Amino acid sequence: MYTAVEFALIARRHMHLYGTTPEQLATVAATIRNNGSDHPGAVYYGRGPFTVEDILASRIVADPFHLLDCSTTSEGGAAVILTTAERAADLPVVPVRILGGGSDALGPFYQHPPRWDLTGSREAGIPNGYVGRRAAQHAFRTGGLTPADVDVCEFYDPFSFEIIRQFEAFGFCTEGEGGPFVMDGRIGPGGQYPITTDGGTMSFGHSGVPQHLQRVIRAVHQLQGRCDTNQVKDAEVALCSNGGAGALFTHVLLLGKELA
Amino acid sequence: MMLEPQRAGIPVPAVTPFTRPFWDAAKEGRLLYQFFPASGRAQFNPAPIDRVSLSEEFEWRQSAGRGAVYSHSTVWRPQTPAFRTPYAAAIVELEEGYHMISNIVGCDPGDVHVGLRVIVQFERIGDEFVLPYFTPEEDR
Repeated sequence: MYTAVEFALIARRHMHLYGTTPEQLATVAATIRNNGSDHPGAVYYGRGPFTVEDILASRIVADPFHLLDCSTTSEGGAAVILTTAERAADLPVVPVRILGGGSDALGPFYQHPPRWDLTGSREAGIPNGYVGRRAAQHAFRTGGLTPADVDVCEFYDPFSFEIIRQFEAFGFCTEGEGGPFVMDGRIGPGGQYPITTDGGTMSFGHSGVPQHLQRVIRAVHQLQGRCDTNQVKDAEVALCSNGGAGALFTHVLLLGKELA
Repeated sequence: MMLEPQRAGIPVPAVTPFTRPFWDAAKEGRLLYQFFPASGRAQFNPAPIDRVSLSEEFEWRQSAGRGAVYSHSTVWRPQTPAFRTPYAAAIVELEEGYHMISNIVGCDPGDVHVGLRVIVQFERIGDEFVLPYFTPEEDR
């Protein structure tokens, strides 16, 4: 067992329950890798573009994941400056506000097998497969917003399926609908929910802990209109996420230019 | 292609006071799990308390070793070169009502699917360990 297998066991269960396809997973991978291919700061800048067929033609690592369904590894650092709205008013940047956030976890990481349907003793009855739902609900409630208000989805992308899982867990689509949901350009540049617009861990870089903040940094740049690549026009609200252990924990942060 | 057990040289389990009865029984070809009367739960991996009732009172029970594949992934690129590939990692749902991670052996990788009926098959790995694998039940 290792990370790819942990996430594969969650993905396989979803494919069994809902008929999610390798092509749908590959669409996620191709979209994010192409976002990084365009980004001069990405480790994999200039690699690509990738088609869905390219992803599916790469060698199997742990099925259903091909090599190009998996994140890369790299070095790197990241930092975010937090301050008050009053201080930010004097700074020469567009301030971005934290509208909400939350952390959700289920069980000891990398010890128990990740089981999609496991609910344990949780009162909420939300299964392992949807870890992060409580965090997202809390974030949206705090911010007075809904998934439909989100302009940019800076989601954690350790493996392609994780994006499909998060769209369902966070309430962007119904349970089981995540596979079809990522098709037809919805998650690409110019789509309804552009994802992981710098290339994420698949292409920009996976520097371990700093990549958690990289999702926040990219979301801030999107809301400030500072992105040189894949700038989402008039972005007002962004949702960032992170997590791990084959979906045993997920954190979310809801950012916006204005309070709702 | 036939999925086979690993050979000596792979990383071996770190035995703890709570898992030693499990590993000792495996050497005798018996698959053990914890049963907690307070909650009526079967639990695996072995732990000092029931994860639901927090009861510390448990008994070791012997599983029939029969179950079904709950989820699986055939691995072609292992974490370390010590593992021979492919191997089919799987979560097996035992008839006694608990899940455990193991590997499926004795069939083609393409034959492994969710719901496949499997039965435990003990394999000696080096001098110290006997590991519980699972194999399709119809082949037995």
